[in-house]
This record gives sequence, C-alpha cells and structure tokens, in this order.
Amino acid sequence: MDKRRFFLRAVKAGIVSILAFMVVIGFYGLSLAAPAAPATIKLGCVIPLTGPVSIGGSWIKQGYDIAVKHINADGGVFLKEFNKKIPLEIIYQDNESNPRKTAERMEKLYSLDKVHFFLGGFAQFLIVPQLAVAEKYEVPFIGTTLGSTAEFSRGYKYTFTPFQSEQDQVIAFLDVLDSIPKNQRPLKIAFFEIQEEWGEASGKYLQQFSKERGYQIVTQEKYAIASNDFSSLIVKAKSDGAEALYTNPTPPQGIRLVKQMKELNWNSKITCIMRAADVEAWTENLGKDGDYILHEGGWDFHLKLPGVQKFNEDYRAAYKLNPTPPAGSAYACIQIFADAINRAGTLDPKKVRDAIAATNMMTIMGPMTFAPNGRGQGKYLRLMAQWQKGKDELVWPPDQASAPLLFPTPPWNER
Amino acid sequence: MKKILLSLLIVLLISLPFIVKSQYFLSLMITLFIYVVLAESWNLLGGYTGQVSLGHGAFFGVGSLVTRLLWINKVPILLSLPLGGLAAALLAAIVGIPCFRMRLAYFPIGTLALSMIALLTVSNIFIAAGALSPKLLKSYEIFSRYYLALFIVIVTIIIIYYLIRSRPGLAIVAIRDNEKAAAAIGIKTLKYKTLALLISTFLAGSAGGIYAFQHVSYYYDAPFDLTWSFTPPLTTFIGGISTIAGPIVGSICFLALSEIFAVTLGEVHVLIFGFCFILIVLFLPGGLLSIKTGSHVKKF
Amino acid sequence: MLQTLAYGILNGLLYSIIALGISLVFGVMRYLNIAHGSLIILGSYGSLYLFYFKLDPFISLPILMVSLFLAGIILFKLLYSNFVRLAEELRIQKSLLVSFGLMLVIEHGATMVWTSDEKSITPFYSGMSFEVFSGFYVPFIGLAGGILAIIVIIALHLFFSRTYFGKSVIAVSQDPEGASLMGVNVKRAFLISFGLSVCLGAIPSVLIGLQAFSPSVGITWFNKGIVVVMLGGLGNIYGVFPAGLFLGIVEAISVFFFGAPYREITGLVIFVLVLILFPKGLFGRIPE
Repeated sequence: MDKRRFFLRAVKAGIVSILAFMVVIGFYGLSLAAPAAPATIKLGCVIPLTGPVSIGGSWIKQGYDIAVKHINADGGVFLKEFNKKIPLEIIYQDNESNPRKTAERMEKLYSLDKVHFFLGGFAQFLIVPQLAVAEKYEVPFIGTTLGSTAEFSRGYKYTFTPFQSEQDQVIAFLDVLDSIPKNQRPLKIAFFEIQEEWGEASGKYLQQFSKERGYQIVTQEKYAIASNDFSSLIVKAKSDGAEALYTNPTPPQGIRLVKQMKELNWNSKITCIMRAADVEAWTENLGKDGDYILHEGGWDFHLKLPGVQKFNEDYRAAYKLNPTPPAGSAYACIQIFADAINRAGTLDPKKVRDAIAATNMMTIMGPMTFAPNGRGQGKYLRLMAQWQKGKDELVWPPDQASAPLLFPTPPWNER
Repeated sequence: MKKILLSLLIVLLISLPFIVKSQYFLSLMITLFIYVVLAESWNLLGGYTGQVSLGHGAFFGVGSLVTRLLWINKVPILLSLPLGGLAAALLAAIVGIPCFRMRLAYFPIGTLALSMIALLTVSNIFIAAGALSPKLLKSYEIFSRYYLALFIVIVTIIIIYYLIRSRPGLAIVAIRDNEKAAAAIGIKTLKYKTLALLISTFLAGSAGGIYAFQHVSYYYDAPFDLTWSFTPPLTTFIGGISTIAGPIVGSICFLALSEIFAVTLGEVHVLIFGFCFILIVLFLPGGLLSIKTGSHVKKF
Repeated sequence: MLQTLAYGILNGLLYSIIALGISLVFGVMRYLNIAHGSLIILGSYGSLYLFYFKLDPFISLPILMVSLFLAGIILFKLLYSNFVRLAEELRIQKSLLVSFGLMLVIEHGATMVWTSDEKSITPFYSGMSFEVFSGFYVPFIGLAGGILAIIVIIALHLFFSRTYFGKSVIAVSQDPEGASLMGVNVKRAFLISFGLSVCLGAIPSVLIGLQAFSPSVGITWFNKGIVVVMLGGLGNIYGVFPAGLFLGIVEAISVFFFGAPYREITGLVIFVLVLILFPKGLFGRIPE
C-alpha cells in the first residue's frame, strides 16, 4: 500500500514537472538572436523516423547524412559574408508519419532551433504540409519524393524540388514503350488509378501523352489506398485485352497486386509498378514473381554521373545495401543547397532563395535547373529500372542503362 | 481558493502570447485547446450520457472540412467556424440519432464505423491538398488563432458546466446511470440523448474549425484520421471520465508526454510513450484525477 | 463478377477467424483487445522467420499456434489480470486502454526490430490457382485458408460442447459468479481463453503473411474483425462466420455497383445499417 501511495505521489510530481517543463520550453522560446558568424548552417528536417513510412524516412536521412559528411569534409560551405567556410548541420525531428505533427515539428525547428533552411522529408502526403509552412516563414525549402505538379502551382516562391514530376514518370514509361520495335509494341495500356493526388495526376498525363503517341488506355480503373483486392481490376484488364500496365500502389498493395495477377493468370507484356517496386525488399518478398517489373524512384545507383560512384561506395560501406532512389535524390538536395548558399554568399533567406532559383549545376541526379514554379528540370529525370533475376537494373535511358530492357514478360506458366 | 486559482489560470492563458513569443509553443497550446474541446465534447456524450462514441473523428473532420472550404472562399472565420460546428451537428442529426437504436454495447463500434466511412469517403473525394494561397499565407498570424481557440475552450467548458447542473443535465446523468430506470420514471431518453449528441458534435465540429484555421496546409482527410476518434476517449479515460477537469488533465498529460518524448527521445519515443501509458492505466484505476480524490467514484 | 465474389468469400472467412479471437475474449471476459490485430502481425513475423528456416508457413502453423498461446497467457498475466474483478463497463474501458498501449508498444517495437518495410511470404505455391472453368480461378492459398477456417470452427464447436473445459468457458461467459459457485476456476478459464484467442490468431497470421504485412497494419485488420464481431452479434461466437462471409460478399458485390474505391465504404455502411435495423446484430444474444 505504501508503495502504491509513493508511486502515486511520484506520478503526481511527474505531472507537475511536465507542466512546468512545458512552461519552461515556452520561455526558452525567448532566446536571443544568433551571433554574427554562426557556428553551423542549420538545416531543419522533419522526417518520419517512426510510424508506417519510417523506412522511407531512414533512406532520406541516409542520403542527407552522407552529403553533409562530404561537404563538411572540406570544411563546409564558403560564405562571402563571413569570409570563411561554415559546416552544415541537419537537425532532425520525427513526424511519426503523421501530417499534422509535420507542421508542428517544423514550427519547433523554426522557433526553437532557429534553423536557416528547411529540408524535405519523405512521402508526398507528409511533405505537402511542409511546403506551406516554409512559404509562410519565407524560408527556402528543398525536398524530394515530391512528384506533384499541382502542389507547385500555387505560386509559392520558396519551395523547390529536384525530383521528377508525374509527367516525367509517365513520359519515361512511354519512351520505353516507344523503344520497342513496332511489330511487338503493346498499344493497349491498362491504368489502375490509386485514389490519391499522385494517381489522379498520373492518369491525367498518361491519357494525354498516350493519345499523342498512338497508345490506347483500354482500362482505367480506380482503387482506394486502403484496398487490397485487385481481382475486379485485373479481370477487367484481361477482358479489355490490355497488354501493358501502369500503376502506383503502396508497397503492400504492390505485392498483393502481383500475387493476384499470377493467381488470375494475367500475362501483361510489360508492367510498371511505381513506388511499390522501388524497394530492395521487392525481390526479397516476391522472389522471381517480382521479376520483369519496371519501376522508377527518381534516381538510380547505376547512373554514370559525376559523384555517383563515391556516393555508392560510401553508402554501401555504411549501410551494406545498394543505395535506394530516395537516398540519391536526398543527396542531390544537399548538393543544391550547398551550391546555392555559396553563390548567395550569405544566409539571408531571400538571397539564398534567388540563388536556388538560378541553379545550374551538375548533381548526382544529373544536370539540374529549376522551372519558375520550383520544379526541377534535368536531362536524367526520366529513368526506368527493371527487376531482372532478382537484381535491379537501369534500363532507360539507353546511354545510362546497365542492362537492356527485357521484353516481353514471359507468361506466368512459362517461368 | 479554487476560484482564485481558476481566475489566475485564465489571466495567464490570456496573457500568454505576450509573454511567450514562440510560435511553436503557441501552436502547441492551440493543439492542446483542440484536444481539450474535443475531449470535453466527447465526455458530454460518453462520460455524462453514457454513450461511448468512437466516431467523434467524423464530426471533428466535418467541422474542419466545412470551415476550411468556407474560409478559403472568403467567408470570415468567425462565421465559418460556427457553421462548421453546425454542419457536424447536422451530420449527427442525420446519422447519429438512428445509431441510438443500437444496443449500448454496439454504439462504440457503430460510431467507429461512421468514422471510418467518413475517412474513406473524404479520401476518395477530396484528393488534392487544401493549402493556403500565398496571399492567405502572408496574412497568417498566430494571435487570432490562439485567442479564438482559447475563447472556444472557455465557452465549451462553460456550456458543459451549466448544462450538467441544469435540469436536462440531471436527465442526462440519469440516463447514463440506468437508462431503463430513467425511462420508467418518465424521462424522454431519446430527447435528452439527442440533446447531448447535438451539443457534443457541435463542439467537436468547432474544434475541427480551429484545426482548419490553424493549419496552413493539409490533405482534407487528415482531420478524419481515426486517431481523432480514439484520442478523446483515451485522454478522458486517463484523466477521469464524467468530470470537467478529467478531459483537461488527460489532454495535457497525453499531449505533453508525447511531445516531450518526441522532441527529446529520438526513435524510441513512441515505444516509451506506450509503456508509460500502460503503466498509468494499470496503476491509476480512477484516472489521474483519482490521485487527488483518492477514489474511482464518478463525480459531477 | 464471380471472380471477385470468390475472393470476397475467401476474404470473408479470413475476417471471421480474426473476429473469432476478438469475440472469444469479449464474450468470456468482456475485454476488448485492440491489440489483437498487432498480435496477429507479430505472428506473421514469426511465420516469416520460420520460413527463413525453410519451414513452410502452413507446416509451421502448429508451432506458431503454441507460441502465440504462450504469449497470450504471459500477456494476460502481466497486463490484464488485475482488473478481472471490476464491473463490466470498467473492464471494457480498462482493457481498451491497456490494449491501446500494448498496440503502440508492439507496433513501434516491431518497427524498431524489422523496420516499417513491407514483408511478404512467397513460397513456391504462391500465385498458384485452380482454373475451375475458363477465366475463373480459385487461388490455392485462399482456398487453403478457407478450409482451415472451416476446420477451426468445427474444432472449436467440439471443444465447447464436448470437453469439460470448453463447457466451463461457456459457463463463465454466461455467468462468472454462477460458474465459480459451480466449482469452475474462473481465473484459469479467463487465462486459457485469452491464450486461446491469441492462439487462434495464428491462422490469420499465416494468411496475412502470405499476402503482405508491416508493423502498422494490425489495427486495420482489427477494425475488420470488430465489425464482424458486432455484425454477428456480441456474445455469439459462432455468429462470426456468417457475419464474416456476409461482409466479404457485400464488399465484393459493392465493387460492381459503386466501383472498387468504395468497396470498404459499402461494407461499413451496410454494417451501420444492419446495426440500426437489427440492434443486436444479426445473431446477437448479449445480455443487457
């Protein structure tokens, strides 16, 4: 009984101290302005460190961390204003894969940690809230895994992304189809549209560009983010005679889709499964059933571009895997920031913002510039990779490819 | 003594934005206010009337949706927000009242289903994010949001305080204690349950309106997330059901604990939060308020 | 349409087995175990590990069942046994809270150990199906799951009606005090029932493992399970089977009227309508 009473008192004391703590944090917010030459350039980053998409958060973090290591190896970024090199520092905050907390934690980074700039997290649904916060404070923001054109059509000035757009993704797929000799080329495409912004936009562009190039979308069927049964869509695609498939399911849906395609014996000649097939786990989970699937994550470690090899080496040494696409594009974000800050010569947000907008450099994603709306433009933003015999190979564009495209996909019963 | 403390607290809350300028802290306080309003509104229906709803997320979400859509389209917030609350109450009138037909034990899951339906439907229909235009962003400031939220919290608590002590309040509590007996002595149970439901959902919708006003950019299905349905009962159970202070204490502890852990502990923070949560539940049977009262007797 | 219906029926059986575990615990001791879904997912990880050791998930099922049974017993003793004596509504409340905390711990613990990456078990027979007639396929795994479900219901029925222990569990669920007066060790009945409920979760563990899973999907499956429990009627364990099938079939049929994105929504709407029209669920006989 005494123990219990003591425990209760302890808890009561704990609660009081928590409340006191909150007040203290608040007062901490009164802290003084930063001194003349800051010790580090602070980049604030809210990413999912826990929760359903935490794995993606870890990839982004890996890319950022290696990039910062490379830049700081030299002393950091040279700033004319202070006439010295200042190292980069990233302050991470977890958003628990929760969009509301994303905005809140960004507030903390800005108010308490006094970050100079913002870095993006992972996954569009988590990053979109971040864009508005960055714009509200007029702090430059560079992020990746953000394909949406709509989110960059609001007239925001401070948000940038080097990542491929939905249009790039669709065009890459159609370019690959175009490369197939005319007599074998599949002309009937099935599009399974996931009920989220990315799905809807992809559908729009796929319709538009297919028509221009002489393809036909014979099946366009929607599915919910929560859904895990694709039988009705597959049956329809089969009966419509579709020979190709393009879709962007979430990772568990992607696995389920392929398994059902096999169960229902649908032999699509070429299949592109965005997002779900990007992960190393794709081949672990599906084995040879996962082969022949095309996918694209914004960057590929096979690219023969300056800096890629060094990045690959460091990544493999640290994490014992092949570099994931988000890690690569995250690395590029830091490259762009460092370059822009250097050119601006100062940490003044407006000047850095203008410097980013004027970017024209080589990154590990290839040459990069920005359109007026903040979206990246570059020669190597339209890529396609394919799983072949359990290994991920880059198959498009031809001058960067590590292996030729395998077409057509053999029927299920012949594998 | 209590009155003095209470007035001091109110003075502190009103002057807070002048003392602490940190947007982060004020934003956190607004979120706390949202939690409190939501929890109090839930408690009215769940704690005082005995109808445990796991569907308040739907009403919160509807309030948020309507307020946002109106506000973005130039309807002033002081009008959009109450309209959001009304929309939530309207929804409750249409779908919630039939739910009273369910047996008491089924009501929670029935309302949970409502919450899930709302989430899935909104996800399918409203696909794009609702971000503010650059013009609205420029006019964003935290003070108006803070004071509006504070105002709503105070109004909510006043409404519930006086409601419980009024005649309808007696009827409501009688229904909770034993619905059949209440009906037997002539209380029109459906009428009072409906009253509690409508007020409760109006307040929940208003909380949603604060959310809509506070956040600069979010996908429209974010306020419909199921955590908004689970958190009010959780915080109220922890704090002490059927009391006015219970939801407040519960919300403060829940939010404070999870924020502090998140900001300081790194990757293990939710894990530790889960452990603490279990410990609190196991060792404090009456909720946190029982530390003071020393019992698990339901109080007014 | 027949194809989707087939999947709907198989899904329905899966929902039923998940609901079975939830219903057992609720019926016997009025506990609501929100963490049931997460425990199932934990089982899926177990199955995955055994698969790495070359044990086929169906073959390793008995091992999984025993492990989950033990886990259930340990969890019960640790977490749930304190409030066995409380009044019914407090029991529901408390068990809800505790299982919420447990769910957080399991989910985030699993994420730390295995990352939030999706996993899937793909044995050689994955994707195989029987082409019953042209264009209509019955997937092998789904069928095996369905057969397992039927075996389970028969086994459970025999357990409850023929064995002493089973009958005592039914007695406890109807009237704990009366049962204890009759000499039933109520505490032990609770303990074993809880263990049994988690053990039953091993079957969905395997079936979900063969689809795709990650630490956070536990609650999604729980939601399906609880809907089925309510649909079938609280307090009626056998009700979960027709209820599960009903839900699965409704979802499948809804695809043809409202399109695939509304599959889940239609199921839920029908659920709410059923509860409004049949306040006790389809077959419920819960005491007031």
